[in-house]
Amino acid sequence: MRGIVPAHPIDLVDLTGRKIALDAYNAMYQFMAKIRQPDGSPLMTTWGEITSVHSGIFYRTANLLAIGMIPVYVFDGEPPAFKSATIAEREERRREARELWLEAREAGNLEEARKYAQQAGWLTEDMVADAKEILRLMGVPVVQAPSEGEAQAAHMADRGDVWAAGSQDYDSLLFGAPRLVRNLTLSGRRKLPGRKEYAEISPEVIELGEVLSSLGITREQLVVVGLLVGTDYNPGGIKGIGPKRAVQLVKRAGTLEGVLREVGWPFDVDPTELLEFFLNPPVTDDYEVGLSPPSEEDLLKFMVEGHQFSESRVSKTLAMVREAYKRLRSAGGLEEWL
Amino acid sequence: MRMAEFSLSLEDPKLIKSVVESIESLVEEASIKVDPEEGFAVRALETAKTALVQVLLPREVFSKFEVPERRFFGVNFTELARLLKRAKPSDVVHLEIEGTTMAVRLVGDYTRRFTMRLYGGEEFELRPLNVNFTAGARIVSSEFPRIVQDLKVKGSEVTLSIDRESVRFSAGAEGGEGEISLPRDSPVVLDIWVDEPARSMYSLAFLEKMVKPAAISDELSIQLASDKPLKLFYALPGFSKAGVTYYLANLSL
Repeated sequence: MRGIVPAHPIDLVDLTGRKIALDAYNAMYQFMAKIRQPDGSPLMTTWGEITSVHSGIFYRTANLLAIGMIPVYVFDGEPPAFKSATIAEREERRREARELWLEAREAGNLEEARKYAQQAGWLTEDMVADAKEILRLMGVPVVQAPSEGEAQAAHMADRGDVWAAGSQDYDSLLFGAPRLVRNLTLSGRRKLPGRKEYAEISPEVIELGEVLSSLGITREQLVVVGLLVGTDYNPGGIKGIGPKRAVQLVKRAGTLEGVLREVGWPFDVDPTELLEFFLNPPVTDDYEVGLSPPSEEDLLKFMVEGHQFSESRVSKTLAMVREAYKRLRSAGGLEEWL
Repeated sequence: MRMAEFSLSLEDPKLIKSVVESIESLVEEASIKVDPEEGFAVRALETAKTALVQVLLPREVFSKFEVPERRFFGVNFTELARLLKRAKPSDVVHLEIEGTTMAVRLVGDYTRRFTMRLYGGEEFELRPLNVNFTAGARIVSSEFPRIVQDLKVKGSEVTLSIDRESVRFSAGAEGGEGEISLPRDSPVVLDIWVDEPARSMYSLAFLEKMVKPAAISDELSIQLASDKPLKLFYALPGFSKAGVTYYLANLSL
C-alpha cells in the first residue's frame, strides 16, 4: 500500500493532547523485535524470563505520555477463523527464524543473529498479561477487542473517541480508520535491514479521506485494492499485482465481483467474506479511554522486583508519568466553554 | 487635596479584602472595570485556563462611588491584597484613581495612604460560560471551606455529585476514601434542583482557592453538569446577581 497512500510526516508535538488507539499486538511485536541485546537475545531476567515487551510497553508508553499523547492500547480478541492459515504460517516462519538465530549466534555471526532474532519474536500469554498489568498500573487505558484490535481501534477513531488509530499496518485504513498514525511505537532510529545504516523514522499520519479522494475510489474499493495487494488474511496478495495496478483494476472493474472476473483468487479464504469482514468487523462500544492515576509503588515493585529493571531508571520514568498525568488531566481547561 | 478622577469608598474593609483575596488566589494581575451603572467588576482567567473568576460589586455596596465614565484598569492583585491587609476592621477604605496611580487610603483614628501603579486594563464583559448545567444546589456558604478541608485529608481530587436526594463530595481512591454527603433535609442545604443528576471530578487544590468569599456571603450556589466545568456563585447578601463567581474546569480524563 505504501506507494499509493499519501502520508504526511507529523511532529510528536502535534500529537499533544490527542488520544490514539494503538494496536497493542502490533506494538508488542515491534518491542519484541527491536528491544534486543547485540547478539539478538531479547532482554531477560536472570531466571530467563524475556522482558523486551515489558521494557517497550513501560518506557515507550511513558515517552508518549510525556509528550502529551494519550495512548489507548487495544488488544486482539478472538481472531477470525480465516486467519488461522496466516497464523500458522507466521508461527512456522518464526520457528525457522529462531533456529537460524540460534545457529548464527552459535557461529558468532552477530549481524545475522540480530536479523533472524528480529524475525523470531514471539509473544507468550504471560507477556501479554504482564503488558496489560503494566498499562493498568500506569493508568493507561486498555481496550479488549472482541476480534481484531485494528478493527476496534478503527471503530474508536471513527466514533471520535480517539483522534487516530496507531499501527504500522495499513489494514487499519481498510477497517475504516479515518486517520492512521504510523511509527509511534518505534524509537527514533531504525536499522535498515541487511545494512549497517540507520534510518531516522518519524511518525506519519495518513488520512483515509485523502487516500480515497487522491485515488478516486470508495472505501469498499480500497478494501478490494487491499485484498489484491495482500492483507493479514491473504498475505502477499495476488502475484504480479502491485498497488498501482490494483487501483487501476478496481477503478475499471468497479466491484470485487468485477475484479474477480478478471483475476483468479488463489487463496482458500472467500474474498467476499473478507470484504464483508473489513467493512463490518466485530467491534464493541464497551470501552473507556480515560487515564487513571498511576499506581506508582505497585508499578515500581512489578518492574524492579518482578522483572529486574533498574530501580533508578524506573523511578525516574515514574516521575515523568506522574507529571504527564497531572498535566493531561486538566488539558484544555475552560477553553471550549469561554 | 486634589480630587481624584475615580473615587470609591467602602465602610467595611472586609468585603473588598475578601474580594481581592478571592481573585489574588487565582491570578496575579487582572483587569478591573468601573462603570457608572454596573459598578465594580473583575473578570480573570487563570493562566492555565483551569479557572475563571468574575466579580460584581454593585455601586450600592460603596458609600461613595464617583465614576464619571466606564473605564478598565490593569491591577496587580497581589500588591493590592497586601495593601488591603493593613486595613483594620473599623477603617473606611478609599480607592482613588488618578491617571495611572491608585491610592489606597485607610481612614480610622488616623489615615494611612499607599499608592500603587495601574496598567492598561483589558476590556471585558461579565458573562456566563456556555455550560448547560443540569443540577444545582444552594448551601450555607460558611460550611464550604470546612468541606474542602475535610476532603483534603483523603485526596487531591474530588468527585462532586448532585441528585434529587443530596449533594455529595468524595475524595481519595486506593488509600481509602473520604465522603461527605449533604442530604436535602440538612440545615446546610437551602435548595436542590435537578434536571438530570450530575457527577464530575475537580482538583481540590483549585477548590481550596475558591473558598475565600464564604466570609462575605451567606449562600453558595453550586451548579454542575456531568464531566463539565463547575460553577460556584457566592451571592452578596441582599443581591441576586452581585457577588463572586468561579468556574473550574473538570478533570477530564
